[in-house]
Amino acid sequence: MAINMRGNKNLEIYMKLFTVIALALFLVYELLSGKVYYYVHPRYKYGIWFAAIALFVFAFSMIGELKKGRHNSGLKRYLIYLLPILLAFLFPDIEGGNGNVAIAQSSRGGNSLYENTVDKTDNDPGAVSDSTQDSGSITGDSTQDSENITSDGTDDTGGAVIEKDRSLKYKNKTSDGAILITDDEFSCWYFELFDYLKDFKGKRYQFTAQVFTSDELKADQFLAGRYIMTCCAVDLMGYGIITDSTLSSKLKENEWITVTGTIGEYNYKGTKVPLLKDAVISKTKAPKEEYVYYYYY
Amino acid sequence: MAVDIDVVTGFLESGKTTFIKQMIASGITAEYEGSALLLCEEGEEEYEEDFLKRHNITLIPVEEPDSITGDYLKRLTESGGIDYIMIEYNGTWDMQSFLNRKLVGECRIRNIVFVSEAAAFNSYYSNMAGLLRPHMGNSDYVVVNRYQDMGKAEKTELRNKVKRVNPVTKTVFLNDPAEDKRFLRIFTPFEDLKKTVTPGMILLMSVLLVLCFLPTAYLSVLYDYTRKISVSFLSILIQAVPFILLGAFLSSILQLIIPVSFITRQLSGNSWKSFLAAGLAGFFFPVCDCGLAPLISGLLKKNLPLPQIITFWLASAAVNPVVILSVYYAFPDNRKVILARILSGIVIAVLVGCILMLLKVRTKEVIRQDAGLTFMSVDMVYGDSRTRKAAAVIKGAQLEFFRVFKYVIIGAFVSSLCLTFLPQTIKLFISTNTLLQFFIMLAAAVFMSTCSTSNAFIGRSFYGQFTLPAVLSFMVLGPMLDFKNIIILSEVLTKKFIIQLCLLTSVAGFLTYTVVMFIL
Repeated sequence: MAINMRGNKNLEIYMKLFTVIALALFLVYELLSGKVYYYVHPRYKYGIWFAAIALFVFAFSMIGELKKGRHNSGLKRYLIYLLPILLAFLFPDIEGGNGNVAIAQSSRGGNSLYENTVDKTDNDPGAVSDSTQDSGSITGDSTQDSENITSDGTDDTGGAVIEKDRSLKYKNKTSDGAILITDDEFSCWYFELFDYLKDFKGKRYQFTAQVFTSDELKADQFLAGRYIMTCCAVDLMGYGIITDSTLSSKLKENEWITVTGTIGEYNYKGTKVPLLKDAVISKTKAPKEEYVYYYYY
Repeated sequence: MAVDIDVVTGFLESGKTTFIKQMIASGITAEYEGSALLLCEEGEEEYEEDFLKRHNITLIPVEEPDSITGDYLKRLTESGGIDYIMIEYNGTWDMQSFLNRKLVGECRIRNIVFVSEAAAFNSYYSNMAGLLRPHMGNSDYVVVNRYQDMGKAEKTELRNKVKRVNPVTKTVFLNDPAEDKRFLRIFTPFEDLKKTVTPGMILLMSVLLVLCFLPTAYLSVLYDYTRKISVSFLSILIQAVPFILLGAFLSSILQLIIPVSFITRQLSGNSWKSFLAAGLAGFFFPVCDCGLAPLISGLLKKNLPLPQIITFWLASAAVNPVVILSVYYAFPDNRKVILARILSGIVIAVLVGCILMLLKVRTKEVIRQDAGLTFMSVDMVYGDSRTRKAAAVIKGAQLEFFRVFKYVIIGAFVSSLCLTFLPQTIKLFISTNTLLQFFIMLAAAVFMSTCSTSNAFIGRSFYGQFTLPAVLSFMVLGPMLDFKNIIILSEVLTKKFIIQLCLLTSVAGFLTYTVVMFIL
């Protein structure tokens, strides 16, 4: 009854103990169920185990204090610590990405080919409005600069500027001759594809993908891609490659497919981006890990 | 029937006896059959016999702190006709051990009131904190008397001091309890005030009521948005938790084990050299910025030289090997970006640090008064033995975790709100004006920076619409001005200084931006 409530039980420590154990159990549950990888990159795994253990240590250290008497302990201020657990309970379905879908930008400022700066501005079909023209000339300058730097650097060896062929890294072949891109390789391959399109052109690749749609594509096109996480769910982004296929209209959003196609070139809003031609599409099951993670290698 | 026990405590000459007499005179004992007054201290003011008789009160002097046990109180009530006990407690006796004793029978402690004289409060607070804390921390009310000379600011300061010990303890300024009817209500017999309706309950009920009438058609959109916010909130939090705990342990070790002089010597030898050291020290802490913030607040609480700490904090992201690696992978064939990222970060950090040093800003001036592990230093008596030390560090880390985690939760929540709604808005303001570009990226740095490592990739997604220097300023300023980091730091630093620091950093960032524009 009310008597117990107003006795000198140390309610504050009970509350703290409850909070700490609840947080620790939450982390352990997320780790064991694998749900944690919908929130953060797998490289945080060990850190989160450490956190759960540290929280249990806190709980253990508090047991001794339970006997201490206490009057007038404020409990409301501990409610905020339970907010994360409440939210996790309220929104348990965290699968299926976040609906943010994009086509990558080349890190070279929108132009992925090693072309001459002059050539580029001449050919640039996107230079209609003033703003694109501006950005075009800016990026042109920076590309030129970086080329100067690389040539400076290689002057000592006396050789010409020969960049490593980035496509050589991916060697796993499938039975029908296409190169297989595994989930682990996907993010790295995807970004290199946009940066070094020349190396990849004409090669045939196979990978597991999700179907993304975009209003800016033609009717017989869709985006074949994956949700890529670099750090945590905040930067989760569905990145796709434009794929030409007559099946496009029949594919459902977020559907899982295995796609095989040859890398081509496509002009998307004034920039050259890779395109998947002659695509062969078959339906497949969702992989165990829905997202792919960007690894630094 | 329950027996109410009220405890009035306070140091010698604080006016306890006067207070109790006024209380009795105002009629708080009138409805009880019989009352006992346990007197643990002989003050100057005395209880006159006829006064006690008139109010049907038995006066019982208590000599030993240990004699007030549960059994003792029970026996007292059983001895006849007593259903109310007032204890005038001795301020120099330990309140904790009194509360540790189990009450038996129908006895219950109803109110604990701490009485203090206005003039003496501050000196007790600063000199006898260890003794005072259990008294005040367990009190429902702190009653301050003889307060006529106090100004408004002094009163607020005193209130805050009490709040620091226990946030739910209320402070009242009273010379006579009869002045305040609301205060007297807590002494009303046979009534549990806490059971009456509170504003919080009304608020909750009205929210629930509104929810009942919500148009369900909009709910799915709302659900979608809240789900998105929830996921990004939890992901920021889960990612930060290991670093916060690490920071809490480091900061606890720093404060309890490592002597101040050791770190001070490392940091303040030759002032210019120490800046360089502070700037590069981040290389050895390859953790996220959100993990570093608690460590920084720990360092600041230790009263270390401010300019160097700030430099260390601002530069940490720039020299962090993980961050450098992520920039390298986000901009694989533009080595200049990496170099510019590192250099501009260090330049801004050292610039801000130097300005702070030239302005002679001292750590003490910018630290919030209530910062510091006050509970830790006085509550934790620890010997030299290793287990004692380890226990102290764990307890310190736990307190530190609870202190900081609150701010992280708030920060992460606001960040996730921004991240859900801002990206679309920011795209609307794309412009070719270089000045405007900088300010958009500055805003993005404050509200959209998630983590110093993923900043490179977020920056990359801006590239194309924004020029390279603008994107660079987003990457560099992101970890420095990130909203949630600022909130974590606001736990130790005063609001004024945080605003100054942010402005200073932005200006330094702008200068660097212009220089980078010329070079690149």
